[in-house]
This record gives sequence, C-alpha cells and structure tokens, in this order.
Amino acid sequence: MTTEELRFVEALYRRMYDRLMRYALETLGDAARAEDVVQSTFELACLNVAALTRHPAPEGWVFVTFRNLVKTSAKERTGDVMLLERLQSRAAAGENSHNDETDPDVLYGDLLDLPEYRLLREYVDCGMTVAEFAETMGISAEACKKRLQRARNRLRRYFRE
Amino acid sequence: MKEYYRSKSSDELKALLRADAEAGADGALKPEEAWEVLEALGEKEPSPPYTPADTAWERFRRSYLEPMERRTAAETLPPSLRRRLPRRRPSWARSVRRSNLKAAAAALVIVALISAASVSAYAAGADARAAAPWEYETAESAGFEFEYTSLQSALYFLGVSDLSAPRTLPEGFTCTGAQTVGTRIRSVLLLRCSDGGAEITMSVTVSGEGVGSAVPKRNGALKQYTPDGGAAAVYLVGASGGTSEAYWKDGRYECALYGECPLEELEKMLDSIEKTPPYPADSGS
Repeated sequence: MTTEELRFVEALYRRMYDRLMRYALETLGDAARAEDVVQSTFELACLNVAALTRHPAPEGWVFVTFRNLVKTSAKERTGDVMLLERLQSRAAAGENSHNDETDPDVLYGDLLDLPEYRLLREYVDCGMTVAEFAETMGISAEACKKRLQRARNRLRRYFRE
Repeated sequence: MKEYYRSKSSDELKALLRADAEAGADGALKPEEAWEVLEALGEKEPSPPYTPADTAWERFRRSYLEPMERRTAAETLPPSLRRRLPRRRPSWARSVRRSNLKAAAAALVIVALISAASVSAYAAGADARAAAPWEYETAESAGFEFEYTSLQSALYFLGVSDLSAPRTLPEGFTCTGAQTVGTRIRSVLLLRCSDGGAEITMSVTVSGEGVGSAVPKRNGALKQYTPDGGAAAVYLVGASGGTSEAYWKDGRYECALYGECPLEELEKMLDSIEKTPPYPADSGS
C-alpha cells in the first residue's frame, strides 16, 4: 500500500469509526465484537484499496461491507455459544468421541479438555477483541482468526452425522 | 427522512438498526439513511462506551496493517528469489528424519566405495541445502515523504551512495516507497515505482558467501542485454505474461528490476544507468 493509499484509508477510518461503532454496538451488543467487525471491515478495505480509491462512493462501499460482516459476526457468536453448550451437554452425558475418532487421548479423555474447546471457551468468555486475544497468545490477529476457525471446524465434527 | 427518524423513540431507532443488520440486500437501509438513523439516535441517547478512534486506529495499524504489509512485501520479492522459496515437503518426507537420511546415504557411500572427495561434496551439498532458508522473518517499511522521479535519487535518500541505478522511469511513473524484506540470511531492499496502476520494483541485495545469488544464471527465458552506451554491467533480461524482469551485479550489490511493463521500457531504464555512481562512495552513509 502506498503512503497516499494509507492516508486515504486512515481518513476514511477516522471519519466513519464512531458511526460504525455505534451501529455495531446497537446490533451486536458487545464492544469487543463491534470493534472486531470495524477492524475487519477496514482490513478488507486495505486489501481492496486500489478499487476503493477509484470508487464513486467509498463510504457506501465500506458500509455495505461492514453490514455484511456484522451479520456474519452475529451468526458466528451465536454459533460459538451453541457449539460450546452442545459440547458441554455431550461431555456431561459421557459421550466423548465422534464416530470415526482414532485419537486415544480423545477416546478416553474428557471432551472439555480438548485444546480446541479450551481455546474457543476462553475466547468467548474473555470479552476481548481478536487483536487483544491474539496479543495474549503472542500471535498475529490473522493467525488467531485462523486458529479459532480451525477449532470451530474441529469441534463441529462431534455433531456430524 | 431526517425529521421522520427524529420523531421516533430511541427504542424504535435501535429496533430499526437491528432489523437493518438482519435484512437482505433489498430491505436494507441505504448508507445515508443509516447515518440519519444513527444521528437521530445520537441526539436522543449517548453511545455506550467503546475504544476511542485514536486507540482503535493504532491497534488496527499494529495488529492488521503491519502484518499485511509484511505479507505483501514477501510476495513482491524479485522472481529470482521467489523461485528459491522451499515447497513444504510432503507428509511422508516430513516423517523421515534428516539424520536417518544421512546415515542411509553414508552406508550407501561405503558399500559403493565412493571416494572421500565425493562424500565431502555430498556433505557440502547438504550444508548448502540447510543454508538456503529463504524464510521471511521481518520487514520494515520506510515510506517516502516525496515521490522521487528517479531510482537513483531514491537510493541516495536511503543512504546507498555507491550503487548506480536507473535515472529515468517510464512516463507517468514515480518512485513511491521503499521496503526492506528480511530473510533469515539477508535483507532485500525494495524500491517501488508506480503510475497509479502498474508497478515496477527494483530490488537490491548485498551478495555474500554461501547465501546464493539473487541474479539467476542465463537460461532460455533470460537473454543478455548490452545497453547502447556499453555500460560496465551485464544485464540479463526476460519477459513473460505481461511482466518483465532484469538482473545485474554491480560491485557488491545484486540488483533486479521487474514489473508489469514491456521489456523495452525496462531496457530504456537500464540504458539510463551510469557506469559509475554519481555520488562519492562515502557520502550519505
């Protein structure tokens, strides 16, 4: 990204930040998630900066992208909470493995001791933004997002028929 | 519409925003309408607390922009260095320990009575393979305050005074920024030129023993080019799929010029390189 493009994104960020945060706070009800959505929106803006600088209405582009991410974030949040609850009830019933499980640690261990479960539980409970959570783990925000997604995918296997 | 939204209660406005967030593309508010709703809501009720814009921007820079810049920089190394990136070994190969491979190789060497010279040559090859870790570790950005019209001026600004660089750029291009991409064994300075769409990059590395060369050998895709003025350097140039590349050595430096432009444009840039640096070797450093 050139210096000029960076200035363009920064100006857009500062101009729209308060409005986007207010919107996200009212719709998601969580300051950390709201900030995550705003940051992800501008991450996408940076990835598409060449097109954005030529766009006739860059604020409109940012807002539409942001609203889509708000929708995704709300679904993700609900999905995380439901996934954790289902895992808890499954562990309480003593069912620790899915049909094709081969890992003995999982077969004979506790489902709630899985690193993926602990990671997702910690993230959901901590009330931090992805960037803050990543900092506590000493990794980048991008790596943290990927790790969380992998954990979700792994845990969802337990409910696959 | 602004007055209409102002006439609504804050609960109604919040419900409107929530409905907007769940609506499909057809039923959603236009951005201007959403701003009006937010403005009306702001007049009725203060916002819940959230991170101030300055802090959030700093966090965005640190956590999102800087890693993104590093990734982008690593992807824009000259083609000759990109080709050196090791591919991830397949899982069966990863499970085989290098020491086991060496032992097996040594046994074969004994059985086949290969000479001591060939054994040492193999060991040297193994060392070279181990010492070719083209993995990106760090990258620093150094944006320019000004847009330079010549790569030579940009280099001088960065304190590289003993290297000759192109003094002209294709029409409409300016030198827009510089980055240093660090690999485990050496750094690559990247000077970027752009006309707003296409980009041409010049990379500079310092050659050293055991680190491999950033200038590839002459092959079918690269031909030798001699500028009209008969400059001291020997250039290897090539073009494919809308991009062109050129390589040369200048003293301790290994340089590459590559980007989305016809080969003739790169050759014109190479023609503008002077035989000796225009600045005294000890100035600016």
